[in-house]
Amino acid sequence: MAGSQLKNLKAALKARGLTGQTNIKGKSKKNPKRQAKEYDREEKNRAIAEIREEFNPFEVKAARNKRRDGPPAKTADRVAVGKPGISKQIGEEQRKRAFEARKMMKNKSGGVVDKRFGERDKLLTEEEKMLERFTRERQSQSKRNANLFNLEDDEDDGGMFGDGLTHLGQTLSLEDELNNGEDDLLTSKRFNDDDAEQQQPQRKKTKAEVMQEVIAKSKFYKQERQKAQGKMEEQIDDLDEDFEDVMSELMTTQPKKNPMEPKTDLDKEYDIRVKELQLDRRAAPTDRTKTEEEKNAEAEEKKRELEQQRLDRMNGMIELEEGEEKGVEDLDDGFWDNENDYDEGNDEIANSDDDVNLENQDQDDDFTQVLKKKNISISCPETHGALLEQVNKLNLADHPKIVKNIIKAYQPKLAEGNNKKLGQFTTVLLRHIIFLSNQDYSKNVKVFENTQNALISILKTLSDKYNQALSEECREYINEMQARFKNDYFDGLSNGDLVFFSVIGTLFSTSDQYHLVITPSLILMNQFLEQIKFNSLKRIAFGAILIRIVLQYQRISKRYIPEAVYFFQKVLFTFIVEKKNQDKPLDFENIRLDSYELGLPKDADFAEKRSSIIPLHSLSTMDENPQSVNLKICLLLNIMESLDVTVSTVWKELPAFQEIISPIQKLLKAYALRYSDFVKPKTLLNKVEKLLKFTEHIPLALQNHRPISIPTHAPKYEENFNPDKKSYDPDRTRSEINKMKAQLKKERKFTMKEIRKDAKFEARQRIDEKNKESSKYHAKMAHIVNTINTEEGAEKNKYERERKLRGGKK
Amino acid sequence: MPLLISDIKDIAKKLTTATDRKQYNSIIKLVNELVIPEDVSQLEDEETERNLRFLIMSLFQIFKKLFSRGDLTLPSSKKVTVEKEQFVKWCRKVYEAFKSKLLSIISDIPFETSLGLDSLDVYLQLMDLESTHFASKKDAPFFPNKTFRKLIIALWSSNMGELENSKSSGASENVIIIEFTEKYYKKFADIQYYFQSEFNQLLEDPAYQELLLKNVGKWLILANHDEHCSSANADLEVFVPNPPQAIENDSKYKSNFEKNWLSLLNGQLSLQQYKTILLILHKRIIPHFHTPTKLMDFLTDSYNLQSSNTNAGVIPILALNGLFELMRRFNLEYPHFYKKLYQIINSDLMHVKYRARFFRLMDIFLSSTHLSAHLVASFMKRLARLTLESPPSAIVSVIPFIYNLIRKHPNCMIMLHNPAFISDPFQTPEQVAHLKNLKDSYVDPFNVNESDPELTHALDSSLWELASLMEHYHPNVATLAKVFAQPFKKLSYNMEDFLDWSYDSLLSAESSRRLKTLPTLEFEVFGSVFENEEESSSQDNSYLAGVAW
Repeated sequence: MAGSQLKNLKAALKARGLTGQTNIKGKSKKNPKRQAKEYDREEKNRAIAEIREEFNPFEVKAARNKRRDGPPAKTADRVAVGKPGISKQIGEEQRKRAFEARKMMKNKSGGVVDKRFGERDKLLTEEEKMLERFTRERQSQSKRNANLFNLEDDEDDGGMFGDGLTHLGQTLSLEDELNNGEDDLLTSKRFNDDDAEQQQPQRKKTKAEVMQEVIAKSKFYKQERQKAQGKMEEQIDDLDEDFEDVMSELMTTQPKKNPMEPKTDLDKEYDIRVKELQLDRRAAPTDRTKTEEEKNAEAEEKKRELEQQRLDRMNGMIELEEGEEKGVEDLDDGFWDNENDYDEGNDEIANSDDDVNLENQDQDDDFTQVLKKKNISISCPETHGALLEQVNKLNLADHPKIVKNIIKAYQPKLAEGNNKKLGQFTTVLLRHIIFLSNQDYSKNVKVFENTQNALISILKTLSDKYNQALSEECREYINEMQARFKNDYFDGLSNGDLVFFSVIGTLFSTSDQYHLVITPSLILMNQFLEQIKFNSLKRIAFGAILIRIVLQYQRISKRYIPEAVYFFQKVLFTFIVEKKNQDKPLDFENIRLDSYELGLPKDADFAEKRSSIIPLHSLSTMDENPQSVNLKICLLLNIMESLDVTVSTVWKELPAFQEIISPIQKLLKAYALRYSDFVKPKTLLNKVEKLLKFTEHIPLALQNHRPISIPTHAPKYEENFNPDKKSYDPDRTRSEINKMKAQLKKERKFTMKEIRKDAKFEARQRIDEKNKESSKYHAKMAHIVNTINTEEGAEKNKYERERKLRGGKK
Repeated sequence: MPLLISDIKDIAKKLTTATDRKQYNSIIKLVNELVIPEDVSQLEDEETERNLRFLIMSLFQIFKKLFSRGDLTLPSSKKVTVEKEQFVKWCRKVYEAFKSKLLSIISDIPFETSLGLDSLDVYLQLMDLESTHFASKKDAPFFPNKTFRKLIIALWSSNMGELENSKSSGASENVIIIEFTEKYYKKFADIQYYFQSEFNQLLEDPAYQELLLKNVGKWLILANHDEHCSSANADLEVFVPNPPQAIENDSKYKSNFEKNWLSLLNGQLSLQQYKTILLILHKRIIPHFHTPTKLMDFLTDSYNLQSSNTNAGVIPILALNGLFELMRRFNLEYPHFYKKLYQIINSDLMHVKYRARFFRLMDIFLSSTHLSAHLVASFMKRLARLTLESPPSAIVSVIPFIYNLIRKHPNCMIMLHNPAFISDPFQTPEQVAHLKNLKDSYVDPFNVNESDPELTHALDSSLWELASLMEHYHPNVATLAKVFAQPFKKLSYNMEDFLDWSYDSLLSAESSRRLKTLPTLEFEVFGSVFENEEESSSQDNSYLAGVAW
């Protein structure tokens, strides 16, 4: 349809002949106002309705006609499926009805009014009630049947005027006239009886007859029941009367007791015994003392478990509860169990110290006396300075003792807050160990070594419980070290740092894939290996020790450390290089050295047997003799041993073993060539050769992944398609469930919609009502005001008239 | 017997207040007083220094007065008497004497004093006065170049020993030259212009050439900034009130600047200076050059240093940047560029701090997809080989770099994945035998020592080095290396995220991590931490073998 809505409407009206000059001829006639015929109007109305429907697109809900065939017509492609307007109206009406019904019931107590006969009458028995109801039912039935004009059926009582024929308000009943003044009930009864007798053969028993029968029956039953009831009551009364007697008889037989009789001692004792026995723990078998084998097996089991956990961590499988279990904050029962372990550990400390073990007690006494003599009081130091103050008067060997004493005096079970203090003390102890390592104790190495080991083993036992404080301190120390190295390079480092790295290696699990203390310290150590200029023997020794520590860290996880390769190449080359002025030292042009002065002399003697052990305490004195051949060889041996370890633990398993080892191999060959009596490089070379022979060096195939399936996007056809079937699920129960679910959803939606509509309707109604009420009120008020006004006006007029009259008189 | 401050004050007052010329003779007295003591260490004495400074200041005031009186201005007309002319000449002579005294203070004091700085200030203010009063006519544009040239000579002959070459950059740390640069050179266009032209003339003068070439550090201080008058966005002022028009001539300035640079580059450079120059070359030198291609020789020499001198270190790496700039902007052709680039990649590269810079450039050079697979494979193999002994920071930049290269050159995938060597349980016996044969006969064909990246046979090799890095001790590096064993789903890595790592940043990343769970403890118990030197370690298990206390 083109054009505006209005134009279309006009056109449609005109086409049906509803507008425009339809009666041109008629107009010319005399009687232009011809009465429209009835059928005309009907026709017209239908036409208008049609037009209206056509123009209201919302009156009819239409759907696309899917089964259309034949030529396209204007309306053929739409099929009416519903009339939303009408259905809405129906809904509205229904709602209105329901609302009105509800409104009727409003403010009435109780939703249901029970109109059944005798329901609330307590005097009536069940039977009577039933009877009465039955009667009423029948009555109403018969009343319905009764024809108004049935002259024979006059059983109605005379209560109603409208039932009988009347004349001038008087009933036209002969009987009434005859029996006037007589007892109403009797007459009616008699009449009824007579009537019944007369009519018997023709029809069923009348209602009255039935009633009579029923009444008779019920009366009989009632009497029976009353009789039975009376009998029972009598019996009960008899029994009640006798009860007192029976009871009194029974009471007299009971013996009397004296409650206050004192117990004999024997009894008391007996009681106590009994009580004791009751309270006594029931005898349980004690834990059997375990045999040595069992203990070993248990330890083994525990170790295996720990090992497994360690492996998991190494592979990056982290379990959380492990760490939390050992949390310091836990103050529950388990915590004190740990305490016991801790005490045992403490004993072990003493045992591990060989000297103290023999006369442990005496020694302790001696030591306390020593403390007294020197006027040292034991307190838990919170800073390293405080510990130093306590310790400075003592011999080095006594340090572990005082530390043990402090721990003993501040056992967590002894006082509150000790736990925290000991945590702090753990960090102080770590600092103390580092501090002692930085001091010069080169004269009494032995004593120092013992002290250090003792202190470290104490730290190890403490670390179990004060893990948090200790690890925080360690991280702190790592940062300090880094800051020192950043400012002063190698000069910022000390023996204590090496001791620190080794100590934390013994304390923490170094094989973890990620570890809060070990990972940073590994980074730092490798930074040292990479960035220290190895231009003196001291520095090389430092590096050699670092390499040892790093290797020890990786003894289980076997991770690859590129910095170590760098260090090995550099140092091995440093020792073989001849003075810089040589044009082409050797064929290692890609290694840049920090010093070209440290090469071994060509005639160095390797025949002599030397120890490869680097004494850490002598690190500070190493630079005094920079060309000491012995020292150089010692370092070289040590580093080659490290190299040996690295090759056989870490490198040999790497795919790039050949690439890693080849420059080092060259260096080793140079050593072997130059020093014919130097055994170590030769053995190493042999080992490497052997390893190279046995490792497979073939191209990688890293991308050998399982082929990834290509996603299929082909459409899925359903065989036996049926448009009525909603689901093709072969699982019956599941399809049922889905069906139910869909239904539920639908219902739910529907109900929600209904509820919403209801609520809207109610709101509208309420507003309507309010409007109505208020308009009513206003009307009422207006009425009142009007009446008052009229009355007042009338009175006023009256008064005025009166006054005029009076005035006129005057 | 030096004059006291009060005496100086007296004389100065008389001179400045009285219009009488009779007092003028005492100027000579004052000027003669201005001498650096024989023993320079006396200057460290506060008394002497204060005296001298006061003297300088009062003399400056006096000469300022003389300038304003016109006693130093040569009369333009010829009407003046001979007497007057002689008087002016006499005044000028005294003035010149004062100037040379100032210059000697600047050049001769071998340590840091404020006296030198004061003299510099006074000298430049005198220059300002000269430019107005010494002009040929009143208000004629004039710049006192001769005075300025003397200053340059004085500045260059100043020798403060240690301070001349700083250890880190090779630039001079002479306070006077720094002051001159900061306060005058960087701010004023005319000073820059005349400096360059005078410097250029001085360089041609054999008497001063050596002096100028020796002190490259001073030149570095002067030239190492962005405030050149030839650069478009520099907002510079003029020092003298009415400078000649010539200072607007950019090309003249540029050619002077260029000549000066080139003659200095041909002079004696220390290693640090070399590095500094190369570092700033592409940003601060090339843009101010007239014909930057003149730098080519210098750059190619630096770039080729690798082959001639094993100790060249980072210099070729640094030269690369300037060279790249020339190639990009000025169509410089460089023969065997990739070969040289390949040679630069050595173990030094992994340990120097200029690594990030080099990687950025290399990323550009290797970004072309038209490079041959052999060449790219050689670069990859070489980089991978170097990671075996590199710090984690270098490894972290190499891994994504190689990943991106493989993405760009899928042919190189064979270095990670060679399907010929996959063993399959469903293979026929012949296939198994063939594979075994293949495996047994395989020898890594890669030639490390080959210098031509096209001929290394890297493509037939494999990147075992990267596979080994999967076992790296740093968990993040190990994880990163494992991308090579995963499907190549990522398009490419953004190199910038990986270039600027260092041990410090790695460690600070670690230390900023918070303790969520407690670190796990070692359950093994060790008898001692260190090995016992005397006893054998069999009985008592020590943690660290080979190290005793």
